[in-house]
Amino acid sequence: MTLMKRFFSRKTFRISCFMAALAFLFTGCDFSYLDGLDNIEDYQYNAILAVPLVNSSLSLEDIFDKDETGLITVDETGLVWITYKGTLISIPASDIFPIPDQLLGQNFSVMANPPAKSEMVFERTFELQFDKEVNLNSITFSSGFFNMLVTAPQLMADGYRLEADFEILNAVTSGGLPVTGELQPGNPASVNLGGSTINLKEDNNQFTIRYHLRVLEGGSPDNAPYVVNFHQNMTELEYEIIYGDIGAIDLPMGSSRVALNLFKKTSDGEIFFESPTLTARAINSFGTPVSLQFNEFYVVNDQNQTLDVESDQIGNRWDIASPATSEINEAITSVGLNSNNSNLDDIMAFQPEDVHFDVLALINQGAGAIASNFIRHNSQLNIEMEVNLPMHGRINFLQMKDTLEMDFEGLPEDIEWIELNILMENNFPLKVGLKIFMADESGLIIDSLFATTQQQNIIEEAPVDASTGRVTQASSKRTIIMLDDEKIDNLLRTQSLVLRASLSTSSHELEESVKILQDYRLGVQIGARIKSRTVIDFNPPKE
Amino acid sequence: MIKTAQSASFILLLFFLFSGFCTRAQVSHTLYWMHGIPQSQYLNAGVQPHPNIYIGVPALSSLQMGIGHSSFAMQDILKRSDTGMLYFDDQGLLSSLSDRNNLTGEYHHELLGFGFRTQKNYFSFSLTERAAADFTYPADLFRLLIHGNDYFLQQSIERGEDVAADLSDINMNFLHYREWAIGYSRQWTPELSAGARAKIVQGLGNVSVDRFDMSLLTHPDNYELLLSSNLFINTNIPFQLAPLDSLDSKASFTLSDEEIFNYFVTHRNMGFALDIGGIYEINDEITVSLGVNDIGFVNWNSHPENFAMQGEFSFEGIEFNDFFDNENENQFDQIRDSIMELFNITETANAYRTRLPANVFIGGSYKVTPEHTAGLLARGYFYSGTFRPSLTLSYNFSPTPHFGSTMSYTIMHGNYRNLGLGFYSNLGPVQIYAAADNIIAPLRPHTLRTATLQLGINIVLGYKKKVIEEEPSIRL
Repeated sequence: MTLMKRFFSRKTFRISCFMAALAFLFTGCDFSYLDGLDNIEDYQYNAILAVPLVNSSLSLEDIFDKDETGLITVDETGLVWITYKGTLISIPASDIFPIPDQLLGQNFSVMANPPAKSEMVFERTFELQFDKEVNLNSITFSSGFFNMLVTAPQLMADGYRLEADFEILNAVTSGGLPVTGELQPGNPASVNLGGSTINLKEDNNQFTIRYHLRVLEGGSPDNAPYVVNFHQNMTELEYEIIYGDIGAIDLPMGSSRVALNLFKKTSDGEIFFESPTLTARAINSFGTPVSLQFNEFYVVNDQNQTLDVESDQIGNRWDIASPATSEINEAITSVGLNSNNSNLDDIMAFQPEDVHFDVLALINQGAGAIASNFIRHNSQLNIEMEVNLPMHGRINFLQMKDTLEMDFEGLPEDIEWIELNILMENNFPLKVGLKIFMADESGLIIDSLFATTQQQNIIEEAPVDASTGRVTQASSKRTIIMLDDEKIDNLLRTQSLVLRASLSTSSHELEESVKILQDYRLGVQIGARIKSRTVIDFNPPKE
Repeated sequence: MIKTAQSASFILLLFFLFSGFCTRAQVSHTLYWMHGIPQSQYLNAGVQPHPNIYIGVPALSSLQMGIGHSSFAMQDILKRSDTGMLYFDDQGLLSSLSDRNNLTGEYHHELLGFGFRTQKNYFSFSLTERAAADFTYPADLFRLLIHGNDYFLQQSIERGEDVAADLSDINMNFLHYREWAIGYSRQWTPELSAGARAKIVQGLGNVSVDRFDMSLLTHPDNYELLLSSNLFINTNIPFQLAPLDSLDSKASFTLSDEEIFNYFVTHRNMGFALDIGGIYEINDEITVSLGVNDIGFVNWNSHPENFAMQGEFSFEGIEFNDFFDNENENQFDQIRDSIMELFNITETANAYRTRLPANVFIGGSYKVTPEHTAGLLARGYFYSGTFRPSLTLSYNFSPTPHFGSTMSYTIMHGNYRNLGLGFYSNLGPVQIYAAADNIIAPLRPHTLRTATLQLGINIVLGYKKKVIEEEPSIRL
């Protein structure tokens, strides 16, 4: 037997090894970790997440709210224009020529003497009454009633029956038929004039009605002759069109104002537009000439300062054309104001928020007055204004302010800090300094987003070729903003952001104008690094 | 001797029971040389167990569990502070990780088993419930979870090049199946015994990753998130996952009794596997062996689901006007939803096939004395496209056919502190046995990275008689 076999064959050795091994194992026991698992310290989870928030390439249309700043258009050179349109004045037909109800009855009587004089045909006139002197030639009614009542009490008491009918002469219905009606004693008759045209007698606003009266047999002429009374009026009159001479009308429009939202959020600073234009357009569908006399015409800025609008194109009075015939719907008269024929440059530099005017409309007066007018029920005089501002000019520390209703309730609370990484790639020749304030629900400012001036100058202007006014290359600026836990707490309380911006164009100090073209973009990239401050409880309390 | 062995076995059994840990183990290496235990033939189909007849006690004949983790143990992530309390050490966790880390677990439960010898042949049958799980993950996954994607962003800034979180080769596999096995081995020559086990496999549940390549890049300029992915995952589980976007935190994953019953009796997911093995005695002292197990597959047909995501997906942020829109009250939800939309997953329901976790054992033993044997065993584990080797040195002591013990030292999962112990003892016809590849782990659970345990009770009858050559009484 080999030495090794002899060695291992010793029983004592084998048992000793076995017991020693067991002793070694058991003395190495350690269960303390298991005991400690019931009480593990809270773990502070401080992972940092980097996420992109915003990535946009904004055109001018994306930046501005067209409801507030107007329509953005582009001309053939690619230059952007901002166009603001509004209606200054709107005069409906009812303001110029209302037709009153003819309630004052034009009554008359005739004598009937049956049986000798039992049938009569006679004519009477009806005169339309107006508040002012007019000489109408015809009226086509869109609605209205010609009302008639005949009474003969004694005749009826003596047993006679009475019949009558009438016809309005020189009048036709919409179907070309005569306008007629029938009468019964004591029963009012009403003829619907809707669609009917009555041609009036010259110079007296009258029309003639032919009556046919018949006394039927069956009574006793104990009290002959008898008086037959006719009562007539016109009600609920609305005209479709009238022809004639409506005379001269003065229509005070009173004071009015139109808001200019373009400058609603701006203040201070200087702004200059190259070649702005203001176009006033009168659209007149009245068949009568109109002149507008401007008693007041001025603009007001946010400091309640005023500046008169001055132009040799309008002066104190603006004559507006009218359509020559009723087949022509409307006549348009335009007048354009620019830097050469008005003080429009000064007005725009004034940053007006409102346009005030007090206008008197002179209708069918003066040298242009005509005797043959027409007015439809829907005729109107509308004065529209269009302001065209080319994005070609210069801005010098123009201050803008705005408020965004915004809360950050979706932001998690267990955040230690947020680092905002803002990259602006700017094609616009504009430099923007921005201040953003956090406001609570009552509008009270509780904190500012930016801490330093450097952070506030968030957008650098793109350099411009002075000869062409065109941007040569985009500018790029990266801004890092650290929001500590105090600012984050204030963010969570924020209900709105108050923005205050200061805008200046490139080379504004040299008074060189720049252009904003259609293809300019503002690239905005915002990323955030967010450090969590989450506490993980390994031993939550048992419910 | 027998009494001594019985006493020792009682003590060892108490030890294993006292340990009280329930591990989900891999195959026990310690059992390989213990041919007195009938279940040792499951590691090498050529083994002819010592008992002529064995009947496994139903549901108690073999219970095997194990777990293996290549990186951190509890003590690496839970440290003691000055106050004596434990605290979670995230940096300790990260420093304990390799580029690729692996967590595995296996569970085998023999429900029925028996075998018998006829002359040179040995026949066996077993019905076993088996489950295996494997999770491979890169260190970047935990870096991402603990530090956030800002860690990789800063790396990109410092190096001046894009550094993405590499989430490739994440592997998640779960397999649950039932195995019906018939084994045959034969003593072909006095030196060579070899055999095979044919298995019908009844698949019950599966999650398998066919491919998983993913990286997440955070761009330094504006923190744009770029997700590159090429992944394909198959599932065959009782819960329907598709459509994924319909799942929420309140999704219910409970099963009715009928669903549970159907899960365990389904026969739509069938497969086949084969074990082959042999043992060859070179001489009286030296023996070599080779075993290849679980070469097979399962076809998953019952309710497969497939999830694929391929391509590059990026998120750069939302529009400026959307973020600052007064009407939009959910800017941050919109950002979160946009990030979630990066994971654009397509869902299908196609049947698929998976391979079983296979093992190769190559071993050699040296018989010091008839009772004492030294062994060396190399094992290769193949699962979900990975190969994991291990090496075991063992000392085996079997003074009688009724008692055997083994001490082993195993290197596996990058762990070098696996001291194993095993024994079997026949108390009359009742055999009890136990084996573990790491007995230190239950005594110091905070150091646990690898542990296996196998227990069982068999009824064993009869033993193969040893033929001992006698020296001639007369020498010429």
